[in-house]
Amino acid sequence: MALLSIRDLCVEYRTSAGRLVAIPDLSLEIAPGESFGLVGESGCGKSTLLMAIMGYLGRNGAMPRGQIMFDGRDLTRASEAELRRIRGSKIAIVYQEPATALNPSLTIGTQLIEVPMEHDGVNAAEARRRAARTLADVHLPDPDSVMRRYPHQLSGGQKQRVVIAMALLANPSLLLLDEPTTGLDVTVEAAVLDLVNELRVKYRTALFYISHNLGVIARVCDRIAVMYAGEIVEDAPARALFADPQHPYTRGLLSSIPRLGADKRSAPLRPIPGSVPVPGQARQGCGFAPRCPHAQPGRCDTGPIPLELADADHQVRCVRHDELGPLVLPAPAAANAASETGEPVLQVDALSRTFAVGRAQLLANDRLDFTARRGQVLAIVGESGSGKSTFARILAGLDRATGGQLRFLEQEIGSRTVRARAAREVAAIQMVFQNPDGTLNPSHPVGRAIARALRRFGVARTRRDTQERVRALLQMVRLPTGIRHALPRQLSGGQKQRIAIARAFAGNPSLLIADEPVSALDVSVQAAVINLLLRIQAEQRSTMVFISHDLALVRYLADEVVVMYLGRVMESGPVAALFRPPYHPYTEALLSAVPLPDPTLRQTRIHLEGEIPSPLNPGPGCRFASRCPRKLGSICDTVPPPERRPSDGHMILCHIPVEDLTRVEPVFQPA
Amino acid sequence: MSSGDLPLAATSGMPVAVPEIAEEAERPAPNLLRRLPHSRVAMVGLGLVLFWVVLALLAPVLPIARPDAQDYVAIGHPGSSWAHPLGVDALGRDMLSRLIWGARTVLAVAPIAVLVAYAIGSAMGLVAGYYRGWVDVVISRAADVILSFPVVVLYVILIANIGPSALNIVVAVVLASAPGIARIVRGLVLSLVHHDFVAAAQLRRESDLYIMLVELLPNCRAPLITDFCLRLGYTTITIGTLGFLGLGLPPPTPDWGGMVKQGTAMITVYPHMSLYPAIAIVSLILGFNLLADGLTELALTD
Repeated sequence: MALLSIRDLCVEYRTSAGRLVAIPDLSLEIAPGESFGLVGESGCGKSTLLMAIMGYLGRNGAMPRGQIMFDGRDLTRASEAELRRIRGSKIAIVYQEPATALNPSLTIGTQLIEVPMEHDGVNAAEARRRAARTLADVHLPDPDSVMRRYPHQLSGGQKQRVVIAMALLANPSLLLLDEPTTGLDVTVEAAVLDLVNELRVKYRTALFYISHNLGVIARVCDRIAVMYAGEIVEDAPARALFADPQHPYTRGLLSSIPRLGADKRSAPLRPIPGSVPVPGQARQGCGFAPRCPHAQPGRCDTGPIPLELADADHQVRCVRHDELGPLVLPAPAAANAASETGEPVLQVDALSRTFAVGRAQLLANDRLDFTARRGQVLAIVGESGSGKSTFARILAGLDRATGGQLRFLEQEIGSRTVRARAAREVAAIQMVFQNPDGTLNPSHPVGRAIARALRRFGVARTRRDTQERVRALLQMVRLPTGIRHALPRQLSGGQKQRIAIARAFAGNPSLLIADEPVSALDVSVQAAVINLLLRIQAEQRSTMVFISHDLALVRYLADEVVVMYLGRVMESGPVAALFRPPYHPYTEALLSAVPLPDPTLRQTRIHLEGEIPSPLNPGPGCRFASRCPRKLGSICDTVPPPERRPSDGHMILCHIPVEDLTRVEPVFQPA
Repeated sequence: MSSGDLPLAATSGMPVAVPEIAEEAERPAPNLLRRLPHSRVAMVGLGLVLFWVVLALLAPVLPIARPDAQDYVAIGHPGSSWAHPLGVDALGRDMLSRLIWGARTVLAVAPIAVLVAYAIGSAMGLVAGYYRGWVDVVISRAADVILSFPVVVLYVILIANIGPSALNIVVAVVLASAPGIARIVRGLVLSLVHHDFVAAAQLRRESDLYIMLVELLPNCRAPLITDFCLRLGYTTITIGTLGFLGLGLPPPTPDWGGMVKQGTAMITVYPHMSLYPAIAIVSLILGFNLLADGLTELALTD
């Protein structure tokens, strides 16, 4: 018998604009102990579903039809008191933002002890014992000291572990997780996911895991449902979903995310056209039809489309699913096509940036060394605190280096901010920022940003010329020219990022800095923006410095890669060399943490101990020594590691000899 | 940078994939002031304010007595009559006329004072929030010093020293309000300055002045419009208070606060002499405050 069974559920909101149906008709079942994943992009209704299960819909939310049966009771009819009893003891939830789930004015211990005292009625001593045991279960070292601390004294990853411990303390039979690792660094994310897997077995809890990231879901869940526009469009066991996806949306998602080993030349991404629909739009037939390459008028846009069985245990909501044939993804080429080898555009030579923090020194960038050539994509990879954004700011001229050299087309620019650079140099280095919501001035029509850049860089002088060039740039980024009169808030995230790209290319830059340009976008529009960026970059033969934490994406688009950790370059070299041994131990850990939706690859799991340490006053040895799983001994802490050069252009900063690093088992192997 | 090599490759025969935005996006979304009719509170406030504005504007053409004309006959019976609907004051001057002409004073002095305070306060706040560092310290501490005085005391000291006049009231209001405005603007700027659109402007080598006035200030608009209305209310109170303390506009200029004060001498016998101007002050303040409340409500439901 199912633990949670949702039947024909309809959720709607009453708004000033009338009734808004967020979920028209949804059914799903979760068995006891099962790990169920729900994938969907922003606005598809996955959070609404979660709130409906928890009974947190709010005053304007309503469930006019359907049932949510949990443990023999219908939660849609349960009283507030009943719901409160179920929440916390039978159903627990872990939210996306751990910082807001903990009370900042109470110690961790106080907050944890409450749970067993409230739900099981045990005394304080017993509650404290249970809390300490659960903290040990979530692998927090020294539970007693953690219990005495306040939330602000813990890192993001530690807080999320505490929240998971708190959820598990009541021994719930169903654990809801709402994007619990979004906002965490990749290595921390991987550790939390492995923890969830481990605890699920230990506590025999069913999981309901919500995420927009197929790779994350693949790492945790047995069965996966894909949600689009308020409906479940496909529901299948994890392996079947990835091996034989049936719904065009699922197929679109899988072909629009880079697979490891694929690169832009051998296997280009195939984006899903259009963007995610606004929730609650009235429509006929399939919600995905407007973006679907297989949509047929007359079949896909009439009447409700039922969920059909494609296979035992594999349901799909598509009238054409048995006509589509298997999904064929372009096979990655065995060898990389020759990468660009133009003349050096950017030469970084022992570049440093130090900040004084009180009496301590923060080495945000420490003796960076690398070169980028014309037409190349140079990717800088690293977790938060690695100094990659500091470097981007120096390169753009928003900050200044405190040591070393940064030469752009043979001119030293590291010591000069934009104010001290020539107009030509400023136009030549432009930037696309990470957050689409902050990148455009909310008060200005979007065309104005582009027009202003054209004028400032002296590309256009007259009004008419400016207008013409704005139109041409908008066409270049595949936007209708009428969009230039719109305000940023009327645009989707992907459209805003396209405007930002048009603005950056207004002055014909020879170097473009892209700081995580797609990490805040919906999965289905990421590929389109990436392809756009790469196409323009290739057409103009400009150099791109691409900053990212997503290694699969870096593998796809980069020619050269620089891996940074705590301000220092750990490894650098051609992209192919970085993805096979010899690896730097940190690169190896990063690779093992990449969440990949690809069951044909077996990935070794490497656990990094602890958190990224404080960047203040680092010791003389290797920066990574404190977390390195391959640490040799005290030499790593006390002696600066040597630069090893296993092949031409490939550098590894490590004490371990190249021969030993080469013998390491590859992170990815065919399953 | 040559202007010839424009990136036009996109137009070379490839279809523009999907028109991703409907043409309706061509007109900008209605702003705060244009959505005013959606808030009943704001409309009531606006009605009260407009009532006084219209009366003040029409004062010269309305069939009312001159505000300084004395009707010696009416002094004996100062209550309402056909000739004087709201009665006369102790000197036989028509109350209605003086209220309407008094509205002109308030409605001219208060907005001018607040506008000047805004110009100075915004400039201080922008500079402090954008440059930070010692500039911020100097401006913020100076503002703190002024804000640490009780406002009324500050006014009394100022006006008593520089003498009562419309200009001096403006000076006093500016001195007392600008630091508060500077604080608000500084806070808003601090929250905006880390947005990437500011960095993007710096990457175009825009001047600091351009960034402050064109990139930052327009985004402070919504909270500032609300604060502007509230401040007009406060300033109305201030002008009333100064008038009541005898520091308002020198007689015989009609001044609501002064009228309340003059009426107090006979308040037990003829309460209307104080009551009507008091009601006038209250209604105008209420109008400004309701308008501010409504705007806040609209800004929150955005």
